[in-house]
Amino acid sequence: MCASNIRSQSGAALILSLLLLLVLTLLAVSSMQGTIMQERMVSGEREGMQSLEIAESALRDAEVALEGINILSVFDGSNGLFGQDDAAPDPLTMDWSTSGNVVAATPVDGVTPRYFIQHMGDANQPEKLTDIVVEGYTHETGAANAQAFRIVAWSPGATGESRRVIESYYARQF
Amino acid sequence: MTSFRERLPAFMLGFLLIAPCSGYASPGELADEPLYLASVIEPNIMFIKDDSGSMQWETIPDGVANTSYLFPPADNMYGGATYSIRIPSFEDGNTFNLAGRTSANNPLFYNPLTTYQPWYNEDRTQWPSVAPDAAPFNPGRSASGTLDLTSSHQHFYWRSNSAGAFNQWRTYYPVTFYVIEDSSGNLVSDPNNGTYQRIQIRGGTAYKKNLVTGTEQTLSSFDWSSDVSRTVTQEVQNFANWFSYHRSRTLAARAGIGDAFSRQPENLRIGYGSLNKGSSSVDGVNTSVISSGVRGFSGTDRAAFFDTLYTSNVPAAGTPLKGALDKAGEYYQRTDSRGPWGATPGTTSAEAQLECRRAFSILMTDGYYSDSVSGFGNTDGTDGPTIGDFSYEAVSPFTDGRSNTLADVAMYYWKNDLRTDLDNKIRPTKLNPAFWQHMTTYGVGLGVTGSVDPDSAFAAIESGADITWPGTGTNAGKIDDLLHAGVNSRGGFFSAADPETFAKDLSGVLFDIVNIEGTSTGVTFNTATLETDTLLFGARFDSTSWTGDLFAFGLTQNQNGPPTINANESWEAAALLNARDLTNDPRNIITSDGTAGISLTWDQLNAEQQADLRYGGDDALGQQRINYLRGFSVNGMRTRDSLLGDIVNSTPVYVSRPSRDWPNAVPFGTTANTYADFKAAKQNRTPVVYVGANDGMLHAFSADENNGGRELFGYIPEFIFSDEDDRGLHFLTDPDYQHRFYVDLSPVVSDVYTQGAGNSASDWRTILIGGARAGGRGIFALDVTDPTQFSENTASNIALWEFTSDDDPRMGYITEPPTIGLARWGNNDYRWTAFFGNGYNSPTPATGIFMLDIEGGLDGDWSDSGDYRFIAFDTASDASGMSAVRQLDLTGNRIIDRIYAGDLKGNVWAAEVQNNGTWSTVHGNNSNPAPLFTATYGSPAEPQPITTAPMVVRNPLADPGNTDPGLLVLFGTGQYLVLDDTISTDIQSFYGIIDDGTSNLNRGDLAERSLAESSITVDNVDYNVRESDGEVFDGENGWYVDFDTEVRERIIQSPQVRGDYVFVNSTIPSDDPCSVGGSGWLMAFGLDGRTPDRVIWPKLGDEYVGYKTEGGLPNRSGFLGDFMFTTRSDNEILTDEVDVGGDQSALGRMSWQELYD
Repeated sequence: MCASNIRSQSGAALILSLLLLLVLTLLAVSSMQGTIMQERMVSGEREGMQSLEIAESALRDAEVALEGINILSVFDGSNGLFGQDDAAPDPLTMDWSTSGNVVAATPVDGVTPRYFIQHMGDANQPEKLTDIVVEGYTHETGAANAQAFRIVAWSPGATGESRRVIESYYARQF
Repeated sequence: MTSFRERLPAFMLGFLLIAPCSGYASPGELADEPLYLASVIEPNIMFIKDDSGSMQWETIPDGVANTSYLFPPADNMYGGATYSIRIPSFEDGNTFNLAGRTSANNPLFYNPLTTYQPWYNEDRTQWPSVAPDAAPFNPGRSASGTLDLTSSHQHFYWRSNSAGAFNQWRTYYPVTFYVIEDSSGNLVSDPNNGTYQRIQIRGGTAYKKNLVTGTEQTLSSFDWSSDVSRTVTQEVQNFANWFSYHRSRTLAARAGIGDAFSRQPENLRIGYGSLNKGSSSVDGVNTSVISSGVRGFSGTDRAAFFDTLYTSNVPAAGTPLKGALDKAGEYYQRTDSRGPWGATPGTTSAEAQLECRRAFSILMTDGYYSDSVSGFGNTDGTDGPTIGDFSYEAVSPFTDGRSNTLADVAMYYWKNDLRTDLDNKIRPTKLNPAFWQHMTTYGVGLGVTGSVDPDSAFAAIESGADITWPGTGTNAGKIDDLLHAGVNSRGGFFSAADPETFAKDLSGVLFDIVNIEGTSTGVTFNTATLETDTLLFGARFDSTSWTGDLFAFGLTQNQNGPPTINANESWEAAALLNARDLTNDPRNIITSDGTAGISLTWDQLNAEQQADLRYGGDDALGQQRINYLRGFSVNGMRTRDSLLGDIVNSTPVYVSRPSRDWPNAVPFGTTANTYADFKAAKQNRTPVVYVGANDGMLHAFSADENNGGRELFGYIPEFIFSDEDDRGLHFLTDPDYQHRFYVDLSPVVSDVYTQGAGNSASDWRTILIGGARAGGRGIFALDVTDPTQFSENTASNIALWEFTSDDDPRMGYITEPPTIGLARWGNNDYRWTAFFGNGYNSPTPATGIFMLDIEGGLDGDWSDSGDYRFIAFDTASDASGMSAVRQLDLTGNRIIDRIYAGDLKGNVWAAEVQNNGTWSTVHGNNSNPAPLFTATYGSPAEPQPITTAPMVVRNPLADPGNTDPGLLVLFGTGQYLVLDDTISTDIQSFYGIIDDGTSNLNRGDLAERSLAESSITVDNVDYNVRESDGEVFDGENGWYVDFDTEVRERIIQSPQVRGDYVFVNSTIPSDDPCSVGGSGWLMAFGLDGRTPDRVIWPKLGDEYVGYKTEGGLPNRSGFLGDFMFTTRSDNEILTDEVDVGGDQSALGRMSWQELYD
């Protein structure tokens, strides 16, 4: 009797398990895809963060370099140093990696960020101790004059697929 | 007894002047020379002249005419034996004749292009012109007899190239000479370029014979060149003066030496001797060669020098140069007080012997030495003893391989310390590093030359280039040895064949020795920060000849530390002015006749100006004086070594495009004509440097790239003219001129909206206000808006006005320029105003501040009501006079609303504008003004004079209780104006006073800071440094620092504030004559008076107030970005890097943003 029962079995389990397997496979594949997507998103974000940090480092480099400059006349539109009257390039459309008219900053993790500095003229200064004194055609009382500079720094990411551009205004005394 | 008085017209003051008297608290008579020059040491000079027999000769070089003389010598004419009396025969074909009697061949012989001068006496008067019919053979020795040059004579002993020596009575005419003329009649020196012409005077008639054609013509006059023409009588006279005063080597040398020495000032000590002088006692020690020990070059000693020069004998003896130099060296080794180092040589004065006196010997010769010395070995080829940290190294160009040469003698007395018992305090120079007592030798040749070029030999001292010294066996080698002696002892050498050059070069040698340069001015720049084209402008003066210079130096930036000042000037204004062709490119010299600007021409001057210029003479003399002032030399007037006079206290001002910070709104200009419009219009204005000089003028020099240093105009203020003795412009032309100050005040320049000269239409103008400092009680204003319009024709547009003690007798001598600003004079009445303290020694004693309406004097006088105001603080009879002012704008609208100034009684006064536009004292009240503070020291309290403008800043020493007006007034005390000030030992101080409205503050209200000094060594450089310490500030009304660590230290400059630090240099005049000028400290205090809280001076490596500089008095510093340039009175320029940080909040990164597409 049992044997006849066996013979009468119709085999739905296989199909079911195949179906289950299919469902599980689909689940597995789709979760794989999400993970890969996640992973890609993370690495893209990381690259963007990295290039921002590297650009930031270039900005600091530029500020250090700026503090080391003693004469304003080096801002003559060459070597990445632009004067007041020079037309500085548009930082978003220019080709940073090949343009000669920018300064290469210290490479970070094999990535070389770049920057340029533009002299913007006298820095508007808040009230100074000495500004109550009215003088003639000299720098009699020794009051110094502060100059403003615009620094634009750019960095690609590690793969070259991302880029970040930051701009800062900087004032220093001359 | 003080009262506030304003708008008091000058004519009213006349009535107040019943008994004018000088203020008793006035500083006394202001010095006529820079004070630190009083301590300059007179150098010792031993002058040894050649009296060898060859000096009798009448030819150069030796043997050119094959005889010693060209005229038959008189017996004993030089007080000793004479040489052969054979002379060249007068035949035209005799080459000895042509060689000797043509100046082109024999530079000693009569040259008609030269006007021969009789000898000079010690006071520059001259010996008489000689009578041609009785011309002395030697004017210094009457026994030598005379020669009648106008008639013929007979002679028996002759020499010619064809007949050799022959004896025959022949007639000759003494006035016979040859010239070489080219085809167009010009005199030339090369016989190949022209033909010989014989000029002869026979029986009063002049004949000219062409030696080629043989034709002879008579001449009625001589036209030698465009400049030189003479009548026959004049020609004979000139020949006679040549015959008696210049004919032979010794006569020409006497003329040259006398000319050169008579030009010298009295601050030399000169001894003299001659090569063949036998042994005798000189100041108690037996010596040969030297006939007189060194003596001050004045009075009877000066006269004796000239007497000996002109009357001493010339024996027929040799040329023992080496022995003579040895004797000079031995003389300088004397230690007794009668010797060369004594305070008064020749006396047994017990006064200390100065360690810094220089010793020179000048060795003059016409030929080749004939003696030898021993015991010197090869001194210049052997390293010298170590003196201090210096030791002579036997290197080129000093060393050679020979022993006992003249150069060895010179080196011996240079490399060895001649006075081991004295401290070594000689000031080294660029050329001469010796700081021990040594002898410097100058070689002076008359008509002799060696084979080594003197210029390259002296250049080799610095470059170390190889100089190969030839052997001393040959005649040329002996002259090279004389040059070598000059090189070895870092002296000099020249050789001149013609007497004129000889006199000029000898004068140059003496000038080098006594030359003292200095400066009391600061520096200025053409940019505010260091750039590639930055120029540093400075000025200097030379006290020997009272000439000056304005110079520009380029700067080269360095990776670390301050920029380097280039080695050579970019330009020097004096050199350019001297080189200027004054005839074709005349100078623009303008002045004012009291109402309008005029050019300096006789007809345009007013009566008083003419009276000055014709002083002691007539109108023609006046016209000549004008020529002199315009730069031409005039016979009989003072000879100037350079046209630009000394610039002592006037710091140059650089003016290019308008650079003030005036707002673009009424009342600054009009709405249709704002300051921005002016700035735009004058954007490319020619840069000009203005400076006042003591040649009577304010000079404008171009600072343009292409034309730098060219004088654009000179302005002589009308108030400088004076017809009194020893004053005014005529004194400048006087050969007996003693230094006075003329236009010595630093100019000040600003842009103002005002009417122009002669009340022309209002416009923006750049005006300059200058003055005379100690040279006169007055100031003047010029319109310098447009440098392209500077010329004499536009003088009336340039000169605006002058304001002097004649306009108001309360005006005294001011030492710093006025300040210029827009101020309120009444309701809606804004005027451009010049503020200045009334200065010292005013005819009517007063202490107060003048406010001049810049337009007030344009009508030619100051007598209208409201032309000017005087804010009186002290009108007592002992009022001291007010020093320079500081003008302030407390409200930020750039309109002046408050002024501060100090006086010599130590009072700090302040005045401010009231609601109705009147100005009155801030402290006390109008009828009884009170000072903010009175600076005193000690008990009983001695006032400390304030001679400079106080610096005023917002008060950073926060004290919430004291806010109104919250100012910190910074100033130092001390006076350096009159002769007595140099020795004053009063303790002076530096103050920071908080003005919160409290009056009558004194030292007790302040916090004390005390100085401590120490020595440090950074990078192998030693510094004396200072720290200032005191209690943390706690509500006091300020602080003070007493300069009690050094004697005589004082502050005579206005302080400067950079960042949160106040910079000031102190002045320490020296009482040690060997410390030239003195010393001073370069200091920066925190605004609380203590050591700055950061490393202000990076080179000192730690926090210090500052460091000491010695060798000269530091002047006020100039700042160029983070670099500080300080001139010193000895003409050094110190450069420092200073780090004051930024104004923190306002510097560094101002913003940050990311840029997106």
